[in-house]
Amino acid sequence: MDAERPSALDALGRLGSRTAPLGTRARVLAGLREQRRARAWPVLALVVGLTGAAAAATWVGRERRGGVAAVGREVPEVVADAEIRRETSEPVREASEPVREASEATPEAAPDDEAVRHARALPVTSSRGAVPRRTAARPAAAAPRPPEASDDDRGAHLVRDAQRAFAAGAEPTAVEGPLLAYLAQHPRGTYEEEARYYLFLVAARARDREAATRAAHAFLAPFPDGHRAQRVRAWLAQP
Amino acid sequence: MAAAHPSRRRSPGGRSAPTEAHLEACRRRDPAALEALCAGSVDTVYRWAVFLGLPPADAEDVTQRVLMIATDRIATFDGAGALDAWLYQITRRVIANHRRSSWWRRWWSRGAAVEPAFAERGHDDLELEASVREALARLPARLAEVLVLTDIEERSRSEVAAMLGVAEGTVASRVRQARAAFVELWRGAPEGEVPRGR
Repeated sequence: MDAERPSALDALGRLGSRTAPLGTRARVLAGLREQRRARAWPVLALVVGLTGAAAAATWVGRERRGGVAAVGREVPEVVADAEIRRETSEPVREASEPVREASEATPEAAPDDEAVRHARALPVTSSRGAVPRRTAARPAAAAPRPPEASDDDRGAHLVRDAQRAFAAGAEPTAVEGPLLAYLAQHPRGTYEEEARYYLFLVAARARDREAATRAAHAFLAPFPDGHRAQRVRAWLAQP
Repeated sequence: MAAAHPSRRRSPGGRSAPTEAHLEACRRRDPAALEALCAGSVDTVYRWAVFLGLPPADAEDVTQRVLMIATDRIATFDGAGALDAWLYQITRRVIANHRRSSWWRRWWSRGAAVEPAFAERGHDDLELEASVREALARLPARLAEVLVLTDIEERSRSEVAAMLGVAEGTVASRVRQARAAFVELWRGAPEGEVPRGR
């Protein structure tokens, strides 16, 4: 055996080309495929689960934002809906009407045509795109009113309902009710200005001078600046 | 020493290195590219496992584990030319872990005949394989592996140094020691004169 035996290095050199048996090779590769496949299922399930959760969260978020945005669209200053803009422009003119009608009903009080024309001429739409919801600057002495957060969003539908009722010419109580409820729930809410302004408008339209005057002062106290305040003062200035 | 065998002039391990495009596809987890990488590395890794002392069944398990680790971590591999070095590092760790966990099996099967591990060949080849594996098993691990990489797989000194993570001079020194020890074992020197491995 030793005479026929290759040398040590020859023996080593002959083994470099050895390959795994076919069965071994097949089992190893099959096992690798199976392990990769087995790992893919949990990953796939995780991806599907996460995708579904993300889609659900997006849908919920859109639903919530849609409710808040609808109120924002109906607020005159930021309205983008032309139909709502027309409806809310009418109360301004109608608010002017009580002024005109009041002046006509009391002949001794000379109608202040200039004030009426000024009140009517106040642009309804010109500042809507520019004036933010909280109009102009407060007096220096007044502290800033941080809007309430999430609860406020839930109260926004009250203001929206009141605006729709006002635009539809509903009874004053149908407008006042939601507005008063909103102010009771959110005394310093995001839509306080809108609520107080519409309380003034509905009283003015109903020709309840006393109530309209109270509502006007209640509006001007926290919101003394802006185009709404100008209209309110113009109305107050009428006899 | 005998003259160089004609087979010594073949490429190391008998396979070509994967291209960068292939490796990039593997990093992207392309199934076909990963399959091709594994198929091209099975023989090499299996051969390492067998010549480093594992019986065929254990070598098969280790090969699968090594390739699974390699496909999992292919994104961390950054050089097309050093794939074998990277695979060998993984193989060494997996074999070491396997030995730690299967010491009782080795003790139980001590003295058993060496089981043929490679594709069917003639009787002489099986005898040759058994004799080489027995001799390698009796060498210290650090000498056996340098002999496997240098004289069985005919890799260059620099390549072996990269695979073992040592200097080329260290590789040269170990090769000298390993060859001397293997030759003694091959010639049938008394057991007491040859360092015991593992």
